[in-house]
Amino acid sequence: MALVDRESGTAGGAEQDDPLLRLLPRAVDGDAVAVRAVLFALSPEMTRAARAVLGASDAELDDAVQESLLGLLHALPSFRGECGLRRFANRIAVRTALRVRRRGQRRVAHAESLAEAGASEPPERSRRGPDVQHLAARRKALLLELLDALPEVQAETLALRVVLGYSLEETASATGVPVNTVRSRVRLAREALRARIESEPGLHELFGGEP
Amino acid sequence: MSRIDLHMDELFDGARTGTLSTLEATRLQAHCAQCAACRAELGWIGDGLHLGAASDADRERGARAVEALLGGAPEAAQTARPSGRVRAATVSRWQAAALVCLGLLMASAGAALYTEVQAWRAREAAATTTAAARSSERASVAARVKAQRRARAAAAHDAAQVEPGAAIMAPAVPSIPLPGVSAPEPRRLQPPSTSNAPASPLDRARSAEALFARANAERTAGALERALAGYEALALAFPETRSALASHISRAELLLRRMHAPAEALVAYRSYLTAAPEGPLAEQARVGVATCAQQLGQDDEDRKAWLELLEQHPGSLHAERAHARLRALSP
Repeated sequence: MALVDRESGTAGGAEQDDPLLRLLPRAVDGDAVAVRAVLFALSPEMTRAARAVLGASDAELDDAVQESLLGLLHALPSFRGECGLRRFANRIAVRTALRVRRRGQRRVAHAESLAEAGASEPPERSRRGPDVQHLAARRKALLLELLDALPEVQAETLALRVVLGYSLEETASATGVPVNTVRSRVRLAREALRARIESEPGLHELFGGEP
Repeated sequence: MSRIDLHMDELFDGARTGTLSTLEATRLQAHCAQCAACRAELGWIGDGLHLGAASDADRERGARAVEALLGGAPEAAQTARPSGRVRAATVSRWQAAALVCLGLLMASAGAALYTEVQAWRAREAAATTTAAARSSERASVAARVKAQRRARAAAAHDAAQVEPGAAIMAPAVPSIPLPGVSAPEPRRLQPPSTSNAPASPLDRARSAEALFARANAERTAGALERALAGYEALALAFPETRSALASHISRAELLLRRMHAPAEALVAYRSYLTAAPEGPLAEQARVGVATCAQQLGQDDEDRKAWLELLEQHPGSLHAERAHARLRALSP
């Protein structure tokens, strides 16, 4: 299966041509203009990643985005180009957002997620019927609950796979671990998910299965 | 390991990208019929959770976060995170002057060795100062984030007590002033419930104009690399603005006329023509393409560019030059 870079829509290695990479040395060196350009260019996708984990209406989303950008600023000198710069930045955003969720020791209530899902759905999907939207919102709420409950590395791996749609290889390169480690983390996350679904028979209907 | 533990991760990758064959899709469905966890993952894929792109609201929220982090206007950001090299150069100039005076005083005593020792000490001090300055910058930015978080929490608390949708002023500590930076004007924050609304295009245009002016000033001052970075930053950050469009030409002219890099200039001119083939600077861009092509020895491209100029801009001041060049290029 061909690797596709979802951020740029180009083949995996094409990020070599990303003009941001030309600015990177200057940004690492503290050049204010380059720092600004890099952060401006990466901030929309980082915000989207943080929003997917926290929810559009989350009061801490602004904090999470700003912390992500600061984290990126600190991490830029350690960027070695083993994965794309955008993937590197998005991973920082996902990790930061997960940390913000845990820091608050909070769980997203189903009703809140429902409202938020309606607000953040792309227009073409918002045209679906209310029942379908309701089920989709409950499914997303289950995912967010699961992210809260999982160990950090498993939650991060699951978020990269499900929320950002990274393949096994992309997740491995973004997290700097072997593909088999990613498989193992995903498998453990699925076990937790299965246990969660089996403990609450009503969840079966969310995914069209028999209780 | 039971049968349902053998999950099909590669097939999920295919399901996300829509590249599953019929057979693979059937296998995945059969597996999901028995595995609740995989059924859930398939459900999330069906919901398109992974498909969402950055929205306008994400762009605006991200831009606000960058502004908050770097301290607002490009000019402030420039001062907020000065290049380490600039600081080092400034420190070195002062220390060099001091060393010269010292050296003159000591010359009569023939203390050349002493001067060498001082020079060595000065270099050490400069390095230490630069490292400390960078560390201090990062600490300042981190402190700024904490202060803004406290400010937002207070603002959110206040917002709960005012009418929904009403704008509130940032609290008294919107940011911690950095050395050499005057205190910024308090920025207006929106209550959390309305913070997802996109900012006006006018704000973006103003930011773009400020960035453009900064880059132009740097070009005028002879800081060509910094000007180039500024133009690139502008095109990346505010691609939809007129300033960004004009920055393609400014960058191209800079590369061609002052940095003698026709290949890169050609790319910049073409970027403009791709974005605005009938834009106000299209004539200049076409002349630029032709000039670059000539310098690069690309005769076909050279000829094509001049012909296009004559076709698109028949009354061009460059028409005579175009005809002359076309004659020279004709076999």
